[in-house]
Amino acid sequence: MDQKPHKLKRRIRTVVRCAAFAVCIVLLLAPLPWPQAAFTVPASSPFVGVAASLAARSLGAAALVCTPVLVLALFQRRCFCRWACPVGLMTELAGRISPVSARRCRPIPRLGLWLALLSLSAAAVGYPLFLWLDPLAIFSGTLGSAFNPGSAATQASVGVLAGILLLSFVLPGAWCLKLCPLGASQDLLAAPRIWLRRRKDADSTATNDELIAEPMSRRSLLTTAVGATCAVAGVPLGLAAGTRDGNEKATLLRPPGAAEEWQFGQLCIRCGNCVRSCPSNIITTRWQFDSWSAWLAPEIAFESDYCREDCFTCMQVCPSGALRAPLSAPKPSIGLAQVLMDRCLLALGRECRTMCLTSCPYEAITLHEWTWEDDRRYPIVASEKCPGCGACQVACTPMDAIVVRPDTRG
Amino acid sequence: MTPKRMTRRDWMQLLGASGLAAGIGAVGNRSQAWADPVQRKDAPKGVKVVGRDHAPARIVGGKVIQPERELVLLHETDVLVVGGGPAGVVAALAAKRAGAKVTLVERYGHLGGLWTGGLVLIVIGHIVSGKKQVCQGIGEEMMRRLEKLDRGIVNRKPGVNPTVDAEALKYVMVEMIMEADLDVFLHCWGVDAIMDGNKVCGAVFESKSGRQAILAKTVVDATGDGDVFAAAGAEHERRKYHAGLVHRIGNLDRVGKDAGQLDKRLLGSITPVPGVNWVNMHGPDIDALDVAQLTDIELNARRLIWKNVETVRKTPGYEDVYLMETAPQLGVRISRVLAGLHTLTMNDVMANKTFPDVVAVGGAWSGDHQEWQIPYGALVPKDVDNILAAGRCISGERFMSDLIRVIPNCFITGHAAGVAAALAAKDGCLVRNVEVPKVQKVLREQEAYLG
Repeated sequence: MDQKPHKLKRRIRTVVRCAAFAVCIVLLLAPLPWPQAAFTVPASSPFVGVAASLAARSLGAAALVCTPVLVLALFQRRCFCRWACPVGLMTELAGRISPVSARRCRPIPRLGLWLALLSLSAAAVGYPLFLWLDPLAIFSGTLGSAFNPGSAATQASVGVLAGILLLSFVLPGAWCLKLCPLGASQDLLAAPRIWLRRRKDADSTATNDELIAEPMSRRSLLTTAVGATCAVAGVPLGLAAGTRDGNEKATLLRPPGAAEEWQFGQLCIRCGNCVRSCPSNIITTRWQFDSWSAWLAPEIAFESDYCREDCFTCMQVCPSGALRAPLSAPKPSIGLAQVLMDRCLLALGRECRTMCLTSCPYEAITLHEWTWEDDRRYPIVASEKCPGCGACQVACTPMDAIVVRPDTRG
Repeated sequence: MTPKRMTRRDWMQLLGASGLAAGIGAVGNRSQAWADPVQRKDAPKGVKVVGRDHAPARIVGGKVIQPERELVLLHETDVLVVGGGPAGVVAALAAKRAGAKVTLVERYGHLGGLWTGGLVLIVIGHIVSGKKQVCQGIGEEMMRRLEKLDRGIVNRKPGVNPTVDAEALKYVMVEMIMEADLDVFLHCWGVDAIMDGNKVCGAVFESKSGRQAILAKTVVDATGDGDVFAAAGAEHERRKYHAGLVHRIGNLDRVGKDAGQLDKRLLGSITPVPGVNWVNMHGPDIDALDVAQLTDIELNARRLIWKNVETVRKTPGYEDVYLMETAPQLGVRISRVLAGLHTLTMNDVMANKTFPDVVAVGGAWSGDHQEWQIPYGALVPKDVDNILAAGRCISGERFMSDLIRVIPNCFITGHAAGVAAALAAKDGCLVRNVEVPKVQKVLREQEAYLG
C-alpha cells in the first residue's frame, strides 16, 4: 500500500550496496598505505569467522571483524546479503537482466544450508570443508587477478565467480538463496529468533515463506550429523591426501605461520589475500594437484626474492587463521635450507662468491672449516637458526645449490 | 781499518763495467759456448769487486739498524706502474696509449700475475644478465688475441666464463708490452714509496741490482697487496681471506671411459690445452701479509697437492694422470684494501647505483645480476696524493671482496687507473684533481665500457 517509503528504502539500499561494493574494491586493491586492509573483506564473513575459529580453536582478529555481521544476522535475517554483499549485488544485477523468472529456482533444494552445516560441524573437529565457497573469499580472490593473474587460485576464483554470475542469469536467485553458504549461515543465525516468533505467533504466514530456514527440522539435524561424520572421516583423509609421502609432514613449502598441513588446506579459504599482499611476491598457488584438501592452497616459491625477516603481512591478512601471526617474535619458520652438495661450487672445489653466507639475514650459514687434513669447503646450515626464509636460495644463482625444503624434523 | 768507502761514481762505473762484461759474455756465449771448452776459456774474466756498495745493516744496542743511504736512481718516468698482473699490465698499456712515458715493474719473471702465475685461468665477473660482457677495453683485447692463438682460450662464447692458457697469456702480454715499447723491469720488487710531503713521487725497488729508486709524476699501485700505498701511509684495511695454491694436472685425455668414480674436486676444470685441467684450492684463511703464514701454506699445499694427485692416480683408469705444475705464485685472494674517497658497497651494486665519475663497470660472476659502476673515487686514497690503486686492492667493503678480486675487475680498474695517471702526469695535476670527464673520454676511445 505504502509505495513511497518502500521506494525510498530501496533507493537507499541501492546506494549503500554500491558504496559497500566500492569500499570492498578499495580495500582489496589496496591503494591504501595499509596493506592489511585486504584482510577486512573476507574476514567480515561470519561463515568463515565462526567455522575457522571453531576449527583453529581460537579467536583471532577475524572473529572480531565478523562479529557485527554476525550480530546483525541474529536480528535481521540476511541483512548483510541485502545491504553489503558485493557478490549479492552482482548476482542481483545478473538476475535483473535475465529473462528467467526468479520463481524457477524454487524447486532447488537448499544446498547452502547443507554446506554451511557440514562445514560448521566439520570445523568442530578441526577440519572445515567448504570455506572456499564463501562469496567474500571468491570476490577477494577474483580481485587478486589485478595483482597476480598467474596465481592458480585467483584464476579459479575468477572462474567460480563467473560461474555464479552465469547461474544467477540462468536461474536468478539460485546462488544467493539456495547455494551460498554465507547466506545460509545467516539463515541459521536468524533461525532461533524466527523459531521463537513462530511459536508466539503460530498463525504466521511466515511458515510458507520459502526463504525461512528450518534449522531445527529433522533434515537439518541429519545434515549436522552427516557433516560431523564427514569431518571425522575427513581428518585422516586430509592427512593422507595433504602429504604426498603419506607421512605427517608437509612436502610443500607453506607461508610462515601456516597451520599444520592436515588442517591448512581446509582452513585456507583461497581468498588470495596472502598471494596479493606479499611484498616479496613469493606466495603462489598452482593448478598442479597434490592433494584434495590442499589443492590451490598457497605455497612459497622463491624465485627473485625471499621472505623478509620483519614482514608478517601474509599472516596479518589471512582471514581464516590458516596463517597465523605469533603473538610475539620470532617469526614462524617456513622450512629449512639444504645444501645440494653435487651442485655447490664450493663443495666441488670451484671458486664461489659464497652468497649464501653473505645473504643470510640470520647468520645461520657457516663454512666447513678448511684444514690440511680435510680440504673440503662447503656451507653448513645451522638448523636452529634457519627459518627457511629463502635468502640463500635466491642468492645462489645460477647453481641453485641451496634450497629451502619443508622442515621434516619433529 | 774498514775498506775505503766507495763513491757513487765508483759504483756506477763498476755497474757499467759489469754490465758491459755481462753483455760481451752473452754475445760471446750465444752460439755453442757451453759445448766447446776451448771457447769457454776465452770468456771474459769476472770483475773483481772490492768493498760494498752500501753500508749494511748493523746491530746497534741489540737492535738491527739500517743506516740511512742515498739510493741509485734507476729511472725517471711519467707513470710508474708497480705490479705486472692483469691490472698493472693493462694500466701500463693504457697509460702509454694515453701518451705518457710509462714504466712497469714486476716482481716475478713473467707478466700476468695471478692470472698466469697464479693459474687463476678462468675469467669470472665480466658478464651481466642478458649475456652482455661489460668488462671491455685492453683486457678484452688480450682475450681477442688469445682467440687467435691455438689453445689460447676456451669457452669463449657469449654469456660463458672463458678459461685462458697461462703460457699463451704470458706470451700475449709480452707481445703487447713490447709492441707498446714500454720500459719494463722484471724481477723487481716494489718495497717502499718515495714521498715528497704527502705526495707520492716514485717507489723504491729491491732486485738483484740492489735497492734502487724510480721517480715518477704519478704512481699506479697494482701490487694486489697495496704495498706502495701502504708504504706511503694511505689508510687501508687488512683482510684475512682464504688463500691456496692452484695446480694443473695432465694426461686426462688418456682416462678410459670405464674409469672409476672420483671426487670431482680433485679433477678440476678444463683449460685450453686438451687433457690438462686446472685444480683450484680454497686453502685456509690467512693474513697474506704475514710471511710465516705464506710459507706455511706453500709448504703444506705442496704436500696436499701431491696427496690429492696420488689419489687420482690410484683410481682405476686415471693411472696416467700426473701433476703438471703447481702455480709459481700463491693464490692470495685478498689482503690489503684501500680506504678510498669512495668505498664500493654491495647495496650500491644491488641498487644499480650510478656515479658521475664512473671509470669502470663490473659484472656478475655468472650473469646473474646487473652491471655495477666503479667510480673514480674507489681508486683514489683518502689521504695520500698522486697514487692510484688498481686491481683487487681498490676501495670496497668486505662483502665486495669477491666482486672486486676477480680478473676482469683487475683489468678494468687497471685500465681506468692507467688512463687517469697518464692524464694527471700530462696535465701536471694531482691524480685526485684529474678531470674525470677527460678520463672517461679517453677510456671510451680505448674501447672501455662505462655503461
